[in-house]
Amino acid sequence: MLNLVLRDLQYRKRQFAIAIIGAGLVFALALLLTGVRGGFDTEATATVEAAGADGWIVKEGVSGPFTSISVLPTRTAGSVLADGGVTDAAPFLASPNRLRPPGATENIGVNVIGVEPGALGAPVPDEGEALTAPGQVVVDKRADASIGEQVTIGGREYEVVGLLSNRTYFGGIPVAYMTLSDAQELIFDGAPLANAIIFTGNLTSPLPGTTVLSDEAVESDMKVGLAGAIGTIDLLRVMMWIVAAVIIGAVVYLSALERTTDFAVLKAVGSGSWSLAIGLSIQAILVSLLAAVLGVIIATALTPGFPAPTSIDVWAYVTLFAIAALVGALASLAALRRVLKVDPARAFG
Amino acid sequence: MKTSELRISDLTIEYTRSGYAVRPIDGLHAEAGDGELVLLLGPSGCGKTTALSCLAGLLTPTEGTITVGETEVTSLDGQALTDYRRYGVGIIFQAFNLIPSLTTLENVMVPMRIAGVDRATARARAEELLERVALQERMAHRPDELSGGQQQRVAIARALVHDPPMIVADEPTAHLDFIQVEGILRLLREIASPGRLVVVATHDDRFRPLADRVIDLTPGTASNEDEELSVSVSPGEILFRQGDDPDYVYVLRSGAVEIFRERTDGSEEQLGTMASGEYFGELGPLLGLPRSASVRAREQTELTGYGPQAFRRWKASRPARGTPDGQSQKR
Repeated sequence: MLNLVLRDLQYRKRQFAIAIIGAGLVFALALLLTGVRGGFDTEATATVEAAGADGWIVKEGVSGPFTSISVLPTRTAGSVLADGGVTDAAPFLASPNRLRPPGATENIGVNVIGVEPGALGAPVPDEGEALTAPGQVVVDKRADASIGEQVTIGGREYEVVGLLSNRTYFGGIPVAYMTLSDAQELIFDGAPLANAIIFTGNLTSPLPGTTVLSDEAVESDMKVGLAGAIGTIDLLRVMMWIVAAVIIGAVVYLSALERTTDFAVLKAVGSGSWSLAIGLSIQAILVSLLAAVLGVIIATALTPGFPAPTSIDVWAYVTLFAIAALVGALASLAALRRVLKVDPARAFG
Repeated sequence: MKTSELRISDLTIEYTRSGYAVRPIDGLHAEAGDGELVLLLGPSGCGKTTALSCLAGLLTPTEGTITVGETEVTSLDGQALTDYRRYGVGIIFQAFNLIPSLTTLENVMVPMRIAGVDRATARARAEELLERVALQERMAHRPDELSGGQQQRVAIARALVHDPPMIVADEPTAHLDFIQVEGILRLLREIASPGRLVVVATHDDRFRPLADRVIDLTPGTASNEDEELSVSVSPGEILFRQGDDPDYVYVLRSGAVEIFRERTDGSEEQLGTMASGEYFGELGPLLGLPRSASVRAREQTELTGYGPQAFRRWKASRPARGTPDGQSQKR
């Protein structure tokens, strides 16, 4: 029976190629959306983990340092360091702003992070040098700037001294690290304030009026603003699975219609209805899996140039193939019904 | 040694189509001996294919029994019926019905693979049969690369794979030219041999000399060609009923009749009425078709019934006036 399935695929190759290409494109889009959704998780994790902190001290009632402008005095870092369990502490300032890349006429979104050069939270660039003095920035490559170039942030000019990869948050908005003093100048007119005090070790005596957040709590808070986008992506993915099922289902159904006499003949010579139905399901699942393979190839080719950060892990591929098999099985249901109902006497015409 | 006698007793097949009961086969009795080539002869619509479907175990008759050898086909169900379809009968279709995506060899292997025969054995058997039908050079070709006659030979090889005691063939030469027809008929004649009965449904009377036995399914007979008789029917009396064999064309001398169809739910669909001077029921006797409607007298009615030849004579002698054909065709 498998031979019959494969031969029919071969015989109707153009018909099935259309289904594979159509469903493959839909699977590629679904996979890219999965990657974008994954990117929301990984970008937040990468940015938070890059700070290298064991805890984040924020003003009491504040949900996270990246989403609130409630501030603490910079000197709080000294009080934190005085705690016996703390091994290091530094002020951390984060705020969204606008960046104009060199030679550009339009601004792009940027997430400014102010840190003390060489202190806890200071970035280690993938290319170029670390921050050493005011007037310097280390930016994510998505900011479209090169080392040595001048970029404008909030109307002030900074020299790009280092570049980072995959350091974004809030849906692919690049991070620009600058010295704490530059960030305070830009955001608070030089007032010695910070969003958080980050520290390593164990804080044994929490400071009054503050809250200590873990990395996970900070990450979770960063993603709250993306809940709508994540929900939309999840919905779109489900719709795409359905579209893929409709494409494959339509082709398999039309193929089954064309083969009505074949099925009647096969029943007339002793084939069971369910045996034919299973063959048809296998055919739809095979088409769907081939479409998934094509989808993976297309998604892999498109990922590098995709505007949003994408992160497609192995699990996403495994899920894609599992869903593709399910899509194939569901797509064959209408055709199955048809096969089961075929009267073998119809073979006589 | 297996035998393949065929016994058909009181076979009646009735089904519903568009709300009407259609009875293409009504009380058929027939017998055929082991190894015979049997013709099921009759015009289109007389129930040949329907009867073949019953012989092949693809259709359950309304009444009656079919026995092939020791097997009562009409009492089979479930796995026994599947086994009968696999091993008890080989089918040859009018339109060949080969699977277009498979090669000649694979088409012949299909029934064996369905029955669980291993690939090597099935292949060897298929090759042997294709050699027998002189298609050993065409084993790797697809059906669309074969002529009609070659496709039908593949179908014959496919029907023989399990060496069944009966082969049924539905108009096996309908799509073939006369050269191909000769080859197929010779092959069918050859495979009808001790242990195997071949039943061929055809409308072509020219095949009669080839057959060992003919089962004529033509409705009615032309024995009344020249007859003419007077008929008198009382109010409410049925003159003839839908599905009856045709006998005469009727001309109304006096009175009136109503023509109606009987639906399977018991209701009647009125088709019209006929009055004095009009005629009805001519298509059945002239074309050999069963009555497609019933006729009942509305009042005391006198009619003349004409055999087909007598009716032609009556019509030719009749003045030009008369009822429209469409009206008169309601039988």
